[in-house]
Amino acid sequence: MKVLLVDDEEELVVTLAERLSIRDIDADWALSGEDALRMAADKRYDLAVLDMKMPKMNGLQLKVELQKQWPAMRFIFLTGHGSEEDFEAGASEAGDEYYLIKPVNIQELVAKIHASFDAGEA
Amino acid sequence: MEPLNDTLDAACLQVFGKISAAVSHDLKNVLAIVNENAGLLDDLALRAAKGGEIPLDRLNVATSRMLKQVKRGDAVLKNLNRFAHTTDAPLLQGNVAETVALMVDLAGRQAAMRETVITVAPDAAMISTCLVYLESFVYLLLRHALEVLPRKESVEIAVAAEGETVCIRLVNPAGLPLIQDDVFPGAQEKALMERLKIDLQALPGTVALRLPASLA
Repeated sequence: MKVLLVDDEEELVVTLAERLSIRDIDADWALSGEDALRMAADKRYDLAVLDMKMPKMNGLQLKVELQKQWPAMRFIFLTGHGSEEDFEAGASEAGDEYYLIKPVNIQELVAKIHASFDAGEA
Repeated sequence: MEPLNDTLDAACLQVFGKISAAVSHDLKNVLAIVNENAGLLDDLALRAAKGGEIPLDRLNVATSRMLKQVKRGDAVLKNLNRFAHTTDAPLLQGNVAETVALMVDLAGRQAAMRETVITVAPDAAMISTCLVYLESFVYLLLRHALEVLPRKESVEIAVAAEGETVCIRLVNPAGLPLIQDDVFPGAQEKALMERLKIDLQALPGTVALRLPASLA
């Protein structure tokens, strides 16, 4: 399973990639939608974990572009917005993808990665 | 038409709400980074407990990242605190360039999202006015300019004392408009301008605000 993490906070995404690697999840990272699309053009990713709010291209816009290259790619969205209303609104926008609020519980993220991957294979 | 004070209060409340939302978003990212690096230290400690080796450089990197985020969070909260304390009194004296720079910092996330660079030249000009209203007006102007300008632009702000008035000048070096005439100033901005006695002049690429150096 190959995972692509995309967030404009470098120190977050680098550390998250390392922690996923410790849990035997092969994770690459990108700091922008543009970088993510360049990486996805060269390598197949099964799942992308995307920050909702990034400069230039937000998570939902990036999802649309990634799906043009990899229609079967699964997605998990991360957000810094914390209210319940924001969560509901965001989850609705994200559709049937997963949606987590920062700071993220690593076990919850790993569980959702596995669940999303299993759902994709089913 | 709403009484002036109601409109002023609504303007300040709107600004306070937007600033609070931006600060909370920034702090969520700070906490997320601290969370991940603390978690990484946990992971490495677990590995050590099972007899594995922990490279010292990884420990150093994780701890220095956390310390950096603590400084970042502290800076964000200092700005919020400074803004909050300008409500302490109806009239306060302050350095105009520093006041504008504070609002530029508080609008920093929006500027970053638009990839717009805003700079404020230091200046010694002082003002005695309702600082929270001035800050609110400057913030609303900055947010509007960020929406009107295309991405990847810049705004240079300069302050100058002109006798008994102070001038705050915003310039886009490319000469692009900073405000949309039919939108800004709206009712709230007009109320703030009336209260602060702001005269606003807008030309392509430039917005100049002139207001009394002393409102007393």
